[in-house]
Amino acid sequence: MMIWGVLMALATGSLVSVQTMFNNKVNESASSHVTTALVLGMGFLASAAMGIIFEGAAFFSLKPMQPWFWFSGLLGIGVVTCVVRGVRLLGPSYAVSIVMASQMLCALWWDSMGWFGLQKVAFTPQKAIGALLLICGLILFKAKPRNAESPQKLQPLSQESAG
Amino acid sequence: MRGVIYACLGGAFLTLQGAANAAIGSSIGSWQAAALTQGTGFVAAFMIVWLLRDKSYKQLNKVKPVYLFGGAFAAFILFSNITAFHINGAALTVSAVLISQIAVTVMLEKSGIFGAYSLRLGTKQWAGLGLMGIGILCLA
Repeated sequence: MMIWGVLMALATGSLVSVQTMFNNKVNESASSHVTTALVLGMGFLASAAMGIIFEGAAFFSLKPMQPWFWFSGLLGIGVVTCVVRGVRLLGPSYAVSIVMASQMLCALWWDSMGWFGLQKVAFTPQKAIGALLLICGLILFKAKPRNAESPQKLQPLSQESAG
Repeated sequence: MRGVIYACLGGAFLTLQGAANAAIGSSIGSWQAAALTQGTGFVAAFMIVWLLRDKSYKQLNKVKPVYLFGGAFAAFILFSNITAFHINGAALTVSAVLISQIAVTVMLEKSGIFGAYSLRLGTKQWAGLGLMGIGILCLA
């Protein structure tokens, strides 16, 4: 069964990647705010539909809510807007590499502090090496290819300048 | 430089969102948490568009219709991610997700099916991607 789990995880990553490309296509015509609203609206409809398919009426049963739950959507706005803008300015591969590195390093930092209700996880030498490799990999990825006449350059994708 | 800052902030928001979704999911259920966070996010994003009098939504008809449904992937992403977590736990799942995400992104950008990018992949770039992969494995 383990291989099935790995396949599901690989599918997850591929879908995230395709979604990023789709969102960027939307952002070529519409502003990043409109793109964010559309992406979250679609995500809401699809998640609610899946919830109803899997759980039926139980999906609507009321459960105890803490007040801050209602503001969790603001994080989604932060994610979509920042990633869409990053991809537009840097191109998908470079932007996604930085997003991933930042995601891992923030998790490492906040885990080891035990912030935001995260379970406190000890900072080990293995993790220090991981963080170092991640950062070195990112720098190397952005290094100029040896046979390139010009540095990686993005063609302008959108008229919207500041986003 | 602005792009780098956005990308770093995007990663930080993703981690925060992951922690928030886990907390909300454990008290009201995963699908309810996904619907709640994206539903409230949509309402707030819609208000931002409205307050800024952003009329660029009129340009959405220029977008190839299939691209408008990118957001709906969230449901399938969530489903496959939850399933993988149940089978293999966090460490293996997180590394496999991230490694496939970067690999597929590089492939898609290189293939050019989504248009105007010029990605040059030399030895340094491949080595960089390899190091990032090993780094992710060490961290997860």
